[in-house]
Amino acid sequence: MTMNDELILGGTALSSRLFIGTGKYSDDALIPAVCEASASQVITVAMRRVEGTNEGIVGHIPSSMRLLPNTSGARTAEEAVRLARIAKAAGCGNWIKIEVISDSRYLLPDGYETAKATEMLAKEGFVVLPYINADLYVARACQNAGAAAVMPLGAPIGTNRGLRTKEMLGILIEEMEVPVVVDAGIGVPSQACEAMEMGAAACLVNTAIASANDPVRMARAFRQAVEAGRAAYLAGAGVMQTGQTGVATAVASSPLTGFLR
Amino acid sequence: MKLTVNGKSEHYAPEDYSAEEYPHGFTVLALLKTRNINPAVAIVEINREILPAEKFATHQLREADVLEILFFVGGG
Repeated sequence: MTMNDELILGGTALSSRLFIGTGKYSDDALIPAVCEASASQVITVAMRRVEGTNEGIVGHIPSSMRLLPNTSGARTAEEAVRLARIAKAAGCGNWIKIEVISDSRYLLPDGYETAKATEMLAKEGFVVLPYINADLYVARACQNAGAAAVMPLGAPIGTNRGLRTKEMLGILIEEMEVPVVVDAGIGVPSQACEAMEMGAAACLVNTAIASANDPVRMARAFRQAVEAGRAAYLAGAGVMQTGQTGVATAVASSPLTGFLR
Repeated sequence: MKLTVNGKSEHYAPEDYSAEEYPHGFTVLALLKTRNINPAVAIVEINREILPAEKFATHQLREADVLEILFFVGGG
């Protein structure tokens, strides 16, 4: 791997290309150990109305982590902007994951509202990371609106179904100038590794770690997978042999001369 | 006093908040304490304006104020 293979986002150099979340842990007290095992430097949080004496999540997050608040719950660009400003005022810094969703069955992001919110918040100086469908035009609209990266989904949120949008992710990785962070749907480390091999800049993984039987061990596995995939991408993969029927004939790895007879 | 808190209409009697305990009157801090909310984790928006935490103890609530009291929770 090249030295100093850092991901620069919003002027910050990140040595880890794995972003993690804080949702769905059976016990939030696991979060510090997950942070350490994942080596992640970026962690998402959400905002909700307070109920009772609940203390919330921030107390469980090591202070070394950069908080990436999301705008989940927003159904329009205006609601996302309102949440982003609240998060910033609450001391969360100026990074924001735009999430604008009005579809409650598949939780697919609204590209039009997301691009609008991206534009408004980028103008206010936020480092905007929009969660989007793996769609070239939406990604371009967000990039043109000032997004620091785009975060296309591999599969619907929380489904652990992997890179179902692989073809479209490949197009985004080819075409975008800003980093492409694969968010949502990644279920196992091999899928994160594959996204990184394809040239994704980073992966955001929440459910797959939080809902594992052993989230700390799974966090370490994702760390290794993301690092391996990144290293493979930088190393440049050899050419895959393809035949017309999709069945390839073998290409010998050892010399075909000088056999002992 | 009628307030809207997290989408619900509620009535409060500011005279119930003793001057000894609440020298600044019926403040945001007083409201949070009534609701057993830890001020350290609360994010408060009043009439669409975010109220900085350092003003919780002194900002007096007024008739018909609309409040959102939020906090950070786990999310992806």
